[in-house]
Amino acid sequence: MTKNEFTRILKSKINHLPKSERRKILQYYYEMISERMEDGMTEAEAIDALGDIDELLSAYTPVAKESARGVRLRAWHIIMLIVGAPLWICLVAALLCIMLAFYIVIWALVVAFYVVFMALAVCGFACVMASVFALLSGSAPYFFVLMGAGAFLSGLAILWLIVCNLFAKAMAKVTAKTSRGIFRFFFKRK
Amino acid sequence: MDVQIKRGLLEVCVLAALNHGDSYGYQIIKDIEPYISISESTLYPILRRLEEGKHLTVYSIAHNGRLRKYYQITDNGRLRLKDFAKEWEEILNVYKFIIGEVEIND
Repeated sequence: MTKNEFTRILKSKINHLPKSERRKILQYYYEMISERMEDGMTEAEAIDALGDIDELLSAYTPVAKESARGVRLRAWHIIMLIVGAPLWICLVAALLCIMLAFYIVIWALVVAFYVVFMALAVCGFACVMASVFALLSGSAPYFFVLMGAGAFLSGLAILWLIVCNLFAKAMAKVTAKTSRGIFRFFFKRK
Repeated sequence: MDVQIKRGLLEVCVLAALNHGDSYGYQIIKDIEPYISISESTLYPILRRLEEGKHLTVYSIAHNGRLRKYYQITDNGRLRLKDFAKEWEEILNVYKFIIGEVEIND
């Protein structure tokens, strides 16, 4: 096997390790190949003498003791969950209620923003319609005042709609983030 | 030899090889090989564990246009060697007991 072939195989086997570890391992093997070649071996002989790469990887695999501890911890967790049920169920329920209240408040605010938009739009439309009637009845001052108010309110409604959309988007993001956070806390803590 | 026993013995062998003076990977292998089989791939995890356990320290020296890593035993490592020497009598007793049991059953 050539050094390049060995490097390719080694890299594929240590791919899952952190970059600093990969660098250390490569340096270690290169140093050993150089040492053996300085000692009179050919490149192929030096590489053959390095031993099984999997043996080196044993330094990075968790020992059986740890998995046994994991099983024991899980059993201990189940016991704690059963014994502490009256306490943690209440706490979780209270937490869920607080979260629900938080969401309701946020979305009530969003709804309130859109209600304000609707009010502005309806008022603007009513003013424009009233100005048309004022024009038909021949009252010029009323026409100008109502038309001006209608245009102002309609413009304000459009600007307010932009604000509403931005606010709703921000709140949707906050909701999604907190929901994801809560989900991860309970189901994906590893 | 049983993997666990060999691993424990190799750690002490590496410390013993370093007890006479600082050494580098290939030299450690050459020193140990007459007594117990060892390769570069076996040595790396041992050196890593010993370094993590502060039984040895590492430094590099330029050699033939490259860096050669040297390993130096620490006081902690020497203590481990002494402990092993003390435990040997106990290990020997266990060995004798096992051998005795095997012979009786044979």
